[in-house]
Amino acid sequence: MKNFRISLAQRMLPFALLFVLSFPAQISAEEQKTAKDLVKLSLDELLDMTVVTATRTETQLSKVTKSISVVSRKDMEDAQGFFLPEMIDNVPGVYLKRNGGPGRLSSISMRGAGSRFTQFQYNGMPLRDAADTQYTLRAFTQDFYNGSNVDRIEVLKGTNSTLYGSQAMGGVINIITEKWKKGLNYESRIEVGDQTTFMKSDRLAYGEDDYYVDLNLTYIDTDGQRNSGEHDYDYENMGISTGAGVKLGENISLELTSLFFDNSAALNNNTPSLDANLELVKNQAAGDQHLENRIFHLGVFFNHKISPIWDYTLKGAYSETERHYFWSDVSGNQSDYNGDTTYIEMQHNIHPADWLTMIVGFDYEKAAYHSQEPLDQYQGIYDPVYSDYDWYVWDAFFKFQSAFLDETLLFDAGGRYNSPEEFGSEFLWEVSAAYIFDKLNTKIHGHAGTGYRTPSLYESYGGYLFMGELITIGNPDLEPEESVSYEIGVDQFLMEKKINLGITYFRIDFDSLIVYDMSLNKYKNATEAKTEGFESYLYLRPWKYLKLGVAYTHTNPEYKDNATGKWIRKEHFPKNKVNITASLYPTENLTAFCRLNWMSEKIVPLNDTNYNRVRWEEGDVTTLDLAVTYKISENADIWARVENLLDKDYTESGFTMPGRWVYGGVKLSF
Amino acid sequence: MQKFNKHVRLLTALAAITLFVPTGESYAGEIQKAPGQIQAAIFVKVLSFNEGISSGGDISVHVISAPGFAAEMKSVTGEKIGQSSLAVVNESDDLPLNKPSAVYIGDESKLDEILRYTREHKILSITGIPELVAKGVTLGVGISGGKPQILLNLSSSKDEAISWNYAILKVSTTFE
Repeated sequence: MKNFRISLAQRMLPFALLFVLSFPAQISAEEQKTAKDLVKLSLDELLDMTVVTATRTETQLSKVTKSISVVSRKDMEDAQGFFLPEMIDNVPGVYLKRNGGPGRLSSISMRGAGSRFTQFQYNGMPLRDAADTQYTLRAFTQDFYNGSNVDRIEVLKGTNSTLYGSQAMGGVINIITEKWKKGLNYESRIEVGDQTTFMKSDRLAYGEDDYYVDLNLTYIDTDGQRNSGEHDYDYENMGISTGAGVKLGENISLELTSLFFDNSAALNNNTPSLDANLELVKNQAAGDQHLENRIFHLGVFFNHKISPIWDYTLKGAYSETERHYFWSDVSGNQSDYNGDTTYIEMQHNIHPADWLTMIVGFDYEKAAYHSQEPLDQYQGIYDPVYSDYDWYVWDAFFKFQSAFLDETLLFDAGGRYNSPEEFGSEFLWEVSAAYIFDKLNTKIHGHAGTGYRTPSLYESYGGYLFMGELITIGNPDLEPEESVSYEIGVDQFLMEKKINLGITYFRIDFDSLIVYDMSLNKYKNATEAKTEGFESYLYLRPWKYLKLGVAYTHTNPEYKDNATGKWIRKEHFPKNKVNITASLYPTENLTAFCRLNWMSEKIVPLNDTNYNRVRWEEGDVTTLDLAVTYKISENADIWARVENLLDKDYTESGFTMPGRWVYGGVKLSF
Repeated sequence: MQKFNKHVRLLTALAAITLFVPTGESYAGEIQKAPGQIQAAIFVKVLSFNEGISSGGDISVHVISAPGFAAEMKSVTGEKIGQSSLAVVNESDDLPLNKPSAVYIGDESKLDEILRYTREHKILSITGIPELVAKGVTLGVGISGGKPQILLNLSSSKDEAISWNYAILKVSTTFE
């Protein structure tokens, strides 16, 4: 619906009603099982109970029928990993694309699907930029730094639209914060590095049995890299995240969670291109142009355990994003893209028998896009021109999770009915199963399902101003993008789980992909695409002194050229990727961490001097990072870390990456 | 100027927090409290590593100031623990009248009093409050990084004359 604005009070009305009408509780889903159920498990299984969201209820990792990986707090501490996307990049099947060092545009893709098919969640609720051209969080990926309160990141790979709705065709990233921390806790982390880099985070938390509050501040400031140009890639980011909860009864509690970023980054003076000899022309920072990003997200959780077999969750979230592009130092010469999203969800979990869990729910999401652009910046006419669009979508979903043969045969099935305001309704399905060979410590698993992505507001209605004229490139006749996804894999646990290894084959077929047609200057549903490959891992913990992880992913994403009917290799993706991480614990107080990344060559489309698009081959690259942490006392850690230890001169999608970058830091906690 | 003001506000906030160094007790790493069901299930498994308790006979657990956990523990009475079985789970806000096999501490304010009792009577002390293990409770269960953790205080084990099967060291985080 175009050109329709509602007031903040109106937008918040659904939340106010939810508050009034409901009694909340955030019940961790382990509580859905009784001690009598749990005691049937072996100690290994109990200790392996990483709770994950793959099934929309927290489930033991070993009982999940899909591919999921978890980045734990311990992983982040070992690596001194402050930049969360880099930690996620260690997971098999995941590819982090960065256009440079800190603050440079980044995106996360899974299994060769485009980054617009990766859905971000914060504490289980979607986090999106309604003003993004493709309704993703891509413009903010580079701003996710660890605020000390991040407990774990769950990475759910493959099409998961049945459970998580639009966009989750490539995978889901769920950032989960630590909650219900008891006592008075304070943590302060300071790190300094090359290029006048300063990073700081502070956490203050207090909790009792029946309530908690948690405040986290992060701050990053760096001159960034220069790339032999005149200007630095300045970046500054301030973040605040909070959490609070109160138990209103034995089975009822209320939780709030919020996230806020405010950052500023230099824009490119030029993007990478090719010179007359087809050699790369490096990107450099602009001196008088910059981008300011802000995001605000507030989530409210309501859960109520009505009986041992029935509980429900009521969630609501309100998110605002702002992107302000300052094209020069002249006041008014700027473009603003602001989005807001309202999300409400109710989910009932019913456990009628030990072997069966049923999930039924619905969600409502309203997205609004507001933009402001200068009428004709080339002529110096900066009168703002506004655009406003919004739409909503209702979804209903269900899922059955069952376990047979003494929980060795697991079978899940689910569906989602999707009813968007502007598009036809759609039904999606998925089935997944796993069989555990108890004596062999082997699990085989498979999954098949359909997915979709609703066109964004920009793809439907958006445009840009050129010489004072509005050029509409959006297409209101677009249909949702669709996919069918399959995977089959095996996990093997050896030597009392000191060795874990596995391999999963995956394939996703996309249809009605939305592309920008340069000849029509419009978005259109056009092409087909597919991605297939396999991801494998090996985790070793032979002694308590060593932890080793190896992830290898082979991906072959392709799209069909409608003119020739030929399949073409998708740009920007490496076909092969290896991540090796090793943590050494030589003494109780010393941790050494090492990460070796290797990526094979990529095809990158770049303009030559005649503005022709050239499929430039970017060479393979190996990088090495190192971190050493020493625990001085119970309350103090110091560390040094080096990124790109080998000082490799390399590019990512043509963008120059930083050379060796040394950091040192200290953490105090009480 | 706007950016400058933002810096001033930010630095003021950071400085205020940095200067405010609370004098609270240190925490056992970043370990959170586990739900009662998980605690109960894990304690049933881990008690089998205790050679005294699991060698035969009836096991009794006395739960102090933790009614939720007591209810979960009662629900698993009858479970086998090594050669023994969990026979009785009692609860109160005070020290037990009869010597149990293990005492569960659910209230930090009673820690000193209870530890004096367990050490004097050579009884295993257990808890679901992770930070109490570093303060002298022998065995605890918590959650870290989304996974249950077994916490074992080796010094306290000696004080309470608890003899563990060596295998527990492979699955637990130990404190001296």
